[in-house]
Amino acid sequence: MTAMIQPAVGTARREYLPFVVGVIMVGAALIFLVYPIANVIIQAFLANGRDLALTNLTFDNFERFIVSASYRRAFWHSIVAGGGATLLATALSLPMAYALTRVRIPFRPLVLALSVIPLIAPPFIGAYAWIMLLGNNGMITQILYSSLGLRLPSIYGPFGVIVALALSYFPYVFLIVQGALAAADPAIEEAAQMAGASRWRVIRTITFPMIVPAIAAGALIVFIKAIGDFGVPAILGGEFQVLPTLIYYQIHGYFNLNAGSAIAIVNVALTIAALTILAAASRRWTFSTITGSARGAPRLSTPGMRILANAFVWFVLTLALLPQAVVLLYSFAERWGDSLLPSVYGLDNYRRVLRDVAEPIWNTVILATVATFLCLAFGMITAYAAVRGKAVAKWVLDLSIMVPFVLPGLVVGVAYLAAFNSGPIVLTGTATILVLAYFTRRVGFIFRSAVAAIGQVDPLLEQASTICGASWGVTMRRITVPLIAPALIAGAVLVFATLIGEISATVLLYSAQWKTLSIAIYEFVLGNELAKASALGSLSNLLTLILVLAASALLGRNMSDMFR
Amino acid sequence: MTAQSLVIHNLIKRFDTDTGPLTAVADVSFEVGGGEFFTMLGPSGCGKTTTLRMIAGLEAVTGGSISFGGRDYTVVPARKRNIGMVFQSYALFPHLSVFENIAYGLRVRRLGDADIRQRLAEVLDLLQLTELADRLPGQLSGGQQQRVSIARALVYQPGLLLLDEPLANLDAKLRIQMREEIRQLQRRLGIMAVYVTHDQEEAMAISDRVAVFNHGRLMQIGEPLEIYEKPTSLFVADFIGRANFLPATVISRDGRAAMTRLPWGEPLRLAQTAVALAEESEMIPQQANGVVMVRPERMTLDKTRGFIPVQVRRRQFLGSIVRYMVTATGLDTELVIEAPRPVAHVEEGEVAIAGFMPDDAMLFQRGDRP
Repeated sequence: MTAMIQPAVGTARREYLPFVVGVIMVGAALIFLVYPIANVIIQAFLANGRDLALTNLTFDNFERFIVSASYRRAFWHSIVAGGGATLLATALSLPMAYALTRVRIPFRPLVLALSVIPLIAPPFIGAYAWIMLLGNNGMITQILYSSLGLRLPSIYGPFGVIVALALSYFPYVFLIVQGALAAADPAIEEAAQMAGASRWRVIRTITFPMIVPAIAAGALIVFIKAIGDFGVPAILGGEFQVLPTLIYYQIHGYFNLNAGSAIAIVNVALTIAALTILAAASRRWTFSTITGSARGAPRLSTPGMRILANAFVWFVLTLALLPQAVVLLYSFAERWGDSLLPSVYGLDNYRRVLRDVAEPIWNTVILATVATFLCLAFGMITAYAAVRGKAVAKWVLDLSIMVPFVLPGLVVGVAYLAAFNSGPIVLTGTATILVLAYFTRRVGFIFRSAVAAIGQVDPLLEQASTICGASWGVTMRRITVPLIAPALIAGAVLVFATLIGEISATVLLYSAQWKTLSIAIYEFVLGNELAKASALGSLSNLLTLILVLAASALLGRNMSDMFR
Repeated sequence: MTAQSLVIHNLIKRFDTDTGPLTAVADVSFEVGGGEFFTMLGPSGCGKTTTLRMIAGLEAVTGGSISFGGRDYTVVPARKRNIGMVFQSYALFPHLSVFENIAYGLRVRRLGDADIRQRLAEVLDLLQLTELADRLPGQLSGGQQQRVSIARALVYQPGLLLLDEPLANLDAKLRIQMREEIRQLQRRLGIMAVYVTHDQEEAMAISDRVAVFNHGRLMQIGEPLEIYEKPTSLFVADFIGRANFLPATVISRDGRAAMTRLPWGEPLRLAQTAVALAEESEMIPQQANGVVMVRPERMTLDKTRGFIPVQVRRRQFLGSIVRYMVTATGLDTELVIEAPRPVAHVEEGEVAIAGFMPDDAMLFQRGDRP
């Protein structure tokens, strides 16, 4: 019997295509994902402009976090802005989610759909709208002063940054918590009521502990997004500098890639610290598995409760959507003097931007399209390998794709600038570097949706195809890809949509020839040409919204589900 | 063997698990002839499906060989084996119509459109699917999906048809109807079929020969009647149909026959004897050195005739038969007796006498100690 034992012979050995594709994928991951990140770590330990050598290694770039007051401030400001935005976003989201799932509220689907808009619109477009509203000459500032004699704290600084970030990112907490509350078995809360607990006691002792993991997950996303955001602090920060703006000034002002790399690492360390705290905490919290239930929870319908809930929900939505509304209003304003509202409306702003900045619009479309296709091809194939492949390969792929996913855009920008500014591959100022940076930032998203989609495809279908005589390539083309196509196309549309407003990585990597739509808006804002910025911003928002709607129609899902 | 036969030789499959290697198929050998309906039967986890998947080429072979029609299949990729396979979950392509599902193997083989239409017309007609050709799998009932998956496996005229528990997802009545259809179709086409099931009644009803698996080993192979009447192990005796086991002591041997003493009545001369497998010795009571196996329908129950005094615990009317659950004095397990009609004057809770003819019984003698 033992004489007959041969080494295991896989049937896949005769298929070359998966092997070739695998090698290309790993190669691409090494060059465009692993190398830039590894390089940033090395650069951070080198003095500015020095070559890599053991004797040139130094801690100087990190020492500035102790020595330099501006570094120290930026570090604390990042924590204050990130933490403040997270707290505010959570404080707004929890009552809103509770109201939507436990109180009778009209237009629930509308509320959910509207709550997605802040996620779609680039935060920096919202940020300059806050200047129009709460700036020194802002609409609300004027109303409050003339009617009540009230003076608000300056919009420039921590107040504005925290408010703008919170209102931009709160839907992450809101949607996740709302989903958890909607899915929770109502019998659990009913059991508590039957045991004699008051409504408030049920919330405190049953409902809230049940959704703590969901709250933590949502809050973590807000924190990561907020400490990585460049646009909002760049526009509203003023003297209030945070780590991403510090990176920007180190690189744009001094072209000090090494200092930028060190700041980037500290910025990422904050993210990792937040992730670690959450991971440690969630180990304690995962006592409850929230099971889906057929029926929804009974909803409160007392008049007082309903009025309160409706008022709160629409208050938050109005606040969150106000910036986009102002941008839209301003985009049609041809003249806006000292009056509260514009005096002359028209399409002049649109005509002007379409004439002057047609090129950046096209650049954005081209760059985003190419990057999206790259994400699609790479994300799909790696996801396939991750789902169907061996455990080790899975882990390596997961890591190399998901790591850049949590990196702030500016960190990706630094990594690419440092990696491809000199050395074997020089890409600075080209379209390629922008495409690759976009690819790096978004491939994780496609990867995730592809993993979910492929997980839905029964491996037996592929085996049935093989038995029928199909090769791996034919099986992929005729069975697997058609089955996962809707999810992938929807994912691709979302990637494209969110790349339209990408600014954090772009701001470090663009060149005169490859200026993008987002950069054009940013320049208009800096040049105080707010009418043009508004027209361009509205165009960008509109395009994004249409694409997201198309994606949700394609998936047959609610828009709000796609961001959970 | 003839060029048409499937030869499995010393087949071994080991999986690496967290707790070390696990042998799923241990040194299995058998041959299946052309046009034969061959069934692998066994409890779940016995290695029957793994063996089938190795024949299909979906699972790598750890040791041994598989050949078909004289050609070594052991390392041939699944897609080059020209095998048809029907899956338990049907595995229909949800995005393709019934027509395209069935035509899939032909398109892969690059047949022309006219040829495909002609072949499809025949197969659709054969499986009564013509009306459903444009539907998607999601719009079909379980039985219809089953037919589509059979059509998809047959359309490219494979040399071998593999069926992995194809009836497990159907309700009882449809299961019986479909198994007859599968059998008739297989006869008509004259194709070799290898079938996997855990349902022994299904295996008996459908197969030319049955291979009984347990713990990755092939326990017995034979025609249904042979396996039922002449099991070579206690496992097979117990797994195929129902069996009553009575403790027995062998007094003397006379060639294959043995004089055997049971706890009741005179010693019996049993002509059918076998040696129990070493690992089955714990199924034999301590005080005895063998067990006598009698099928329920071969036992008699009467008010006065017989030699085993019993108490009737329960009586079940099952339509075609009446089943009695009885306890015999000095025996801790229940005996099952099946009679064609109710036994007169024997009610639940009463005492009666059970018996059987020596020719209907089979002795398993303890193997490890004489």
